[in-house]
Amino acid sequence: MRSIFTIFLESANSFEGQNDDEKVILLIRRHPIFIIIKSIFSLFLGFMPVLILIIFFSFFLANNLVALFLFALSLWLMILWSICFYSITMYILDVWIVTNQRIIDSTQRGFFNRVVSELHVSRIQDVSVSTSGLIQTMFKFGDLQVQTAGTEEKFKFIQIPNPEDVKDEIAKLIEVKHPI
Amino acid sequence: MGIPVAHKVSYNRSMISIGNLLLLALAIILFIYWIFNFIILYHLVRFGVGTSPKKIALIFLMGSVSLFFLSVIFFANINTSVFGGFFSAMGTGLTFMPNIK
Repeated sequence: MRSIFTIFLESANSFEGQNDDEKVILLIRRHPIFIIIKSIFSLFLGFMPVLILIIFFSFFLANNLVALFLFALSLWLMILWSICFYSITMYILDVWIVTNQRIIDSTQRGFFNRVVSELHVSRIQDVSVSTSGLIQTMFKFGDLQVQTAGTEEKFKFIQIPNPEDVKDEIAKLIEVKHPI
Repeated sequence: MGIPVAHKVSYNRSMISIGNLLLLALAIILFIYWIFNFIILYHLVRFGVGTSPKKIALIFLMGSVSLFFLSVIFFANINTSVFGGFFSAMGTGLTFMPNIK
C-alpha cells in the first residue's frame, strides 16, 4: 500500500479532465518574482508591529498592555498569513498545461471564479515570444502567444519564465503532429 | 390592595463582562479565519497540479494551527482590568439597559 505522503513527493501532474492517453509535457506558472515581491511585502507588514513593540516597550510595560499587544499581534499575523497564502494560492492555480494533445489555460480569479480554456495542438498555426523591458530581460521572463485560425483569439501565456524554451517545446509538439 | 409589580426584570450583569465580549469577538474572528483557511486548503489540494500545491497546503496548515494556538495563549494572558474606565460602564453599570424593578 502506498503511503499518503507520496502526494508530497510524486506526481504525474494529473489534472481534472485529463484523457487516459494524455501526457503532461510542461506545467507553466507565471515567473515567481511576482509572488516573491508580494511575500516580501507581507513579511515587512508582519515585522512592523514587532518594531512598534520594541520602540514602545516601556510604555506598554508601564500601562500593563504587553499581553494585549501580543494578542493583537498574533491576530494580525494570523490575518496576514491567510492573505499571503491567498495570493500564493491564486498564483499556484493560475497555470498553463502543455500536453501531447492540447494546451490548457486555467485561470483562477478569486475563490469561486475559475476559467479553463483549451486549444488542440493540431490547430496551432504560429507561436511567438515577446520579452520587453529591463525587468523581463533581467529575470528571463516574457509573454508567449499561440496563434490559431485567423479570426480566433490568440492563446496567451503571460509573464512565463524562459518563454523561448516553451516555444521550442510547443514547436516540437507541432512537428510530431504535423511532420514536414 | 397595592399596585401589583407586573414587570420585575433584572439582568445578569456578569454575563456581559469584558472577558465574555472579547471571547465572543475572538470566536467570531477565529470562525471566519478557519472558514477562509479551509477554502484556501481545499483549492490547493483539489485544483493544484503537481506536488508543490500540496506542500504549500501543508506549510499553510501548520502555520495556521501554530498561529491559532499562539493567539489563544496570548488571549488567556490578557488582563481585562487594563481596559479601565472605558469599558467599566459595560462591565458593571449598563446604564443604557432597562433595569425595571
